[in-house]
Amino acid sequence: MALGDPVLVAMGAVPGAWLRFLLVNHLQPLLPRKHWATAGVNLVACLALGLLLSLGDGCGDLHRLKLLLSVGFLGSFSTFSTFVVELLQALGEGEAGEALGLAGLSVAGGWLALELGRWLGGL
Amino acid sequence: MAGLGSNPNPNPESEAPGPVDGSEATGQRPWARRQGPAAHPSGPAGTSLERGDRRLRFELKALALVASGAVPGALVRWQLVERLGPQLGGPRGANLLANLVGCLLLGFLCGPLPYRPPLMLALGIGFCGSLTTFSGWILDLADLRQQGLGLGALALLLTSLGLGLLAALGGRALSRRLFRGRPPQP
Repeated sequence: MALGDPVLVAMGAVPGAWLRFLLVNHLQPLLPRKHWATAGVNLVACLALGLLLSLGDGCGDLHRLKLLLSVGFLGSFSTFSTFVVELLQALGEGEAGEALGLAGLSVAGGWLALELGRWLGGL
Repeated sequence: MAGLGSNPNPNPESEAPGPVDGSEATGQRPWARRQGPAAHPSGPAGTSLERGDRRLRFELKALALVASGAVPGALVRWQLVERLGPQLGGPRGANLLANLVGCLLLGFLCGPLPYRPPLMLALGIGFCGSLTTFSGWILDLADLRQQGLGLGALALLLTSLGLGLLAALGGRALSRRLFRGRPPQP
């Protein structure tokens, strides 16, 4: 482990978390439910990850760039815990349909966004 | 913001910082309705500046708290993948572990904690948000599917969601028990 590796992860993590925090705060009032802001952030992260993976193909050793962008920035920008807690809240409010829609759209949308990113990167 | 003009706030001092900026942008000054323009010529501007200053300080504090949690969160996830990954069946096992721990902790933070707002910023939005990853999880699912392990992807999907919900529920129940001393409210 190179000495600079943790610094790279941290340098990606801080702006990733800030961007998520600020985006969710700004999007929340514009959306019918708070959890769609988190879902939107997660979908953007999946698209960006697909794009990065595809652009990085055949570019040699991108270990350090991956630490900064994939592990640090996108790992921190996207969040699983908030998604699950918001699912739990929707379920707790008796909105099983909303919870199912959130889970389905997040997972299917995330998958599609990842593949779309890969496709865009391969163009 | 557009509603400010048609619906004057009787008590502008109690307004959240957000609408104050909006009213300045649209050229409206809510305080002008409260006191005459000549009453305290320098007063209103000073108040507004102070309010803006307070808001900026609040936002900087929030960003500092988020960053203070985000750095250890991302480092722990990365080290889990690096060190425990080989024993947990690759990065997907380590990501699952990180996600479940994050769900447990965030569930705990959703309970009736003391000092909840700063804790939520540092540990919830910062630490849990960075420790857990959605894009990494989706990539793990897509990789399994690509390797022809469709059932494995489905199993990982359902395990993550099921155990994640249970972990969050468990964390919330624990903090309700610790900090309220009586069973959770329905």
